[in-house]
Amino acid sequence: MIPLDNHRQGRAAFRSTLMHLLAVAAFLTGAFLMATNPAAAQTLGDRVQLHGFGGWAAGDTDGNSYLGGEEGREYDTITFALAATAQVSEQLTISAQIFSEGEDEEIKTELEYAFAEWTFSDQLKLRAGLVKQPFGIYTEVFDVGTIRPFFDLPQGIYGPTEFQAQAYQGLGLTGRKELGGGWGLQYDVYGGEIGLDSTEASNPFLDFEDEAGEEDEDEDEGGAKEKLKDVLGGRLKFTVPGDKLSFGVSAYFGTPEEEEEAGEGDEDEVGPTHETYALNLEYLTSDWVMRLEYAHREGGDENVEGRGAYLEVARYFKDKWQIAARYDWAELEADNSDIIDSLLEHEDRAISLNYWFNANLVFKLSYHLVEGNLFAVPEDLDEGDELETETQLIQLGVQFSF
Amino acid sequence: MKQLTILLAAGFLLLADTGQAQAADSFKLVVHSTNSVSSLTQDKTSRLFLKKTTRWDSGDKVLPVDQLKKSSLRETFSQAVHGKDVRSIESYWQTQIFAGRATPPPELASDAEVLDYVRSNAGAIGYVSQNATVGDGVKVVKISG
Repeated sequence: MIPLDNHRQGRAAFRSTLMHLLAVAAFLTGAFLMATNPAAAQTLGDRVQLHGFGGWAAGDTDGNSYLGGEEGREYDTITFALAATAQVSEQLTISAQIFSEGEDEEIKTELEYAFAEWTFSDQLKLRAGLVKQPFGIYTEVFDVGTIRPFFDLPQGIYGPTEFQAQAYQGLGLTGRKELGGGWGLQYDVYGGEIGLDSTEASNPFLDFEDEAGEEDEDEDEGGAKEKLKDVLGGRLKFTVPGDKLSFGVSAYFGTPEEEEEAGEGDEDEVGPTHETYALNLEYLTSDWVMRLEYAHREGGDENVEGRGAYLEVARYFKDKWQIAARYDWAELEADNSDIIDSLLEHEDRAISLNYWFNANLVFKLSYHLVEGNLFAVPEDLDEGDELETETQLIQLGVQFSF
Repeated sequence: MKQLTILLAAGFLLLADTGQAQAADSFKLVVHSTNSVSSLTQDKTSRLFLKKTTRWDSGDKVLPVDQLKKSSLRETFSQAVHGKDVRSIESYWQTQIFAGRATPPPELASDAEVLDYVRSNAGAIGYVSQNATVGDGVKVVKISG
């Protein structure tokens, strides 16, 4: 992920950003279409496709902040993304996606991916650039709300837990092979650099290294990345006959790289090799959605061991309604024994009632009961107060795509 | 214990849904008349329309074409060939699009438009109503298995 502009603030700036993105996308699309032979009009729509997604949510909690919700209600969780795919030639495809997210008057715009793919065959495609990290079920479609039953992804694996990076910068190979009897295998291998959303930087009360009560002035709250270089990773995904059930395994490892200190210009390698693996199972029919994942990591800059898992089940009824339930869990083990246990634990039991206008527009009303403070923490804490370890969240959101 | 509960719940769900695809007797699968294919399995047909297989055995690029989402024929085809409803297939395409892996086939509004598309593109494959007259330049392919 490459931050383009982390300093714009306010709704006006967000609207300006969106208008800018739309204008750029419209210009690029128009320019490409004008540059193409008008006689081939039937294929123009196939050569460049523009898609997008977004959403808005309001959340109310009974104390801690969690998934954009706060005590007294918050209304300003909003996202929007534009994705463009250009079929430049039969073998060459260029894909890019820009994502904007607003919360608490702060707007962040990122280039989520931009890569070229050269197709040798269905079995072998070369990818280069900033590429979505093939990890688990959701990493490649991280923010797309119209393909999942809950507004937010399960935090145990897809929160700032340093399990996945959304994108890698480097080279990759991907392909798909039919194994006979209706079985299929999709595979990915890749190498390069990734940036993991720092667990420590996302939680102001969590400090893996310092003694309790000491403030770590080096940590930059929110959005800080734990960079890994010399990353090597891969994913195998098997589909069974009938194409409803799939299962897979993902893994990668890389060398931690310390953030460059301002003004010093040097980087030091720290910490043991960061190693992560994950197992997943997905079952999708017209009526049922079921996803199960488990992930494990160890090493890294803070030498923290982490485990996360979730099970989500959803069922459609009366065509447009969907009810969903999810159990989401994570725990960390750190060397620093001064850390309060609840800061290393997370359990979220959630239910959601969704109304799908169609596959591109959905309203979601959910209730979450959270134990632990790994992701649910107060905005601030007065001297002598203790962390509330239980958090309840009611969230209403809408998500769309085109 | 928590992990065991999760696994048991998952196992129950896998057994809960045993729905079968409908028979493919209410539409015709059509390809260009020069295509050497005369029959396709249901699984192969699904892979062609989902762009999991993108080349014919001849090496030509496969160009699938769909009918509109609101078309009842599209729903029938989706259930018969993919074993899933149109909404599930739309969800599949959203995953492919936003993962940067593939884009969906073009959607055309009528049997006549589909037949014109297939007639004009050697690698095309589409489907039309059972009572549609396919005419020259297009041939009907059987679905087996």
